Amino acid sequence: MSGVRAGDIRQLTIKGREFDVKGEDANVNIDLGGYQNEAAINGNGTAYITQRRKLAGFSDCPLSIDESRKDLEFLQELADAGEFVPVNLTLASGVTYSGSLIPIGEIKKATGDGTLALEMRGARFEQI
Amino acid sequence: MDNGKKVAPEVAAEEVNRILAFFGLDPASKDFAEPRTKMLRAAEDGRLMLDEETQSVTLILLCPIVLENGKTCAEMSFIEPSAGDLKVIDRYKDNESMARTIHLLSKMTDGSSPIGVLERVKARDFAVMGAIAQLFF
Repeated sequence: MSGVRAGDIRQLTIKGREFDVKGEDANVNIDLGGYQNEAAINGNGTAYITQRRKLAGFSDCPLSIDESRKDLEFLQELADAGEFVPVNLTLASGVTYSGSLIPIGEIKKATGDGTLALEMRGARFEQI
Repeated sequence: MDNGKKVAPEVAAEEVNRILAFFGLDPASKDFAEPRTKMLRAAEDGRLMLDEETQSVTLILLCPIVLENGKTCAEMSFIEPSAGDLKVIDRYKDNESMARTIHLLSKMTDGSSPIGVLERVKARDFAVMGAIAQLFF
């Protein structure tokens, strides 16, 4: 079992293009999809569960945007195309998550630190 | 073939020479003698082939990788790295040559094989991959 359980993103590829993910304070959230539950109570004191499917993917991934190779344009084009693309995310532990995802939310670069907080979602995002 | 090889030595040599020549290298050059030998063994097993259309070299793995999602990675295709891809070499220290090669090979798969998968490649397959990477730097 790997002793490394946290740390930097070692590699992120989106549709074959490798992106630099900022290190240091990066804290990417990975979501495997599946179901999420909501519990509520009835008037007679019994409880019931509402179970809904949720998307898989990741969020809060700080990409270091390279303008010389048009990273920002590449990501916006992916969003514009509206199609799922292959994504691989390798963690510090060497574990890789893979899935067909699409960018979610606004694609915007912060010029102060040169990063873009990326969120991508899809039906599955699983270890390979 | 009664020697356990699937491809005749001369046919395998021809395929390896074709790969070298395709990427503008001299098959007779001593600079590529070592990688050529490693590629030749794989070619004799029928595991190495050039796809001129996609300009890639495909290696059928001796030891396929069973992925965590139940799928199996049985082969990998490598393309010529771009200058931008080669920049990853600069990120690693001199004592990180293996990590450097793995990262470069990942880029040569056009992102289809991430680092985490390449790290599970067995040594015999990795030796051939290393030979393929050597063609470009």
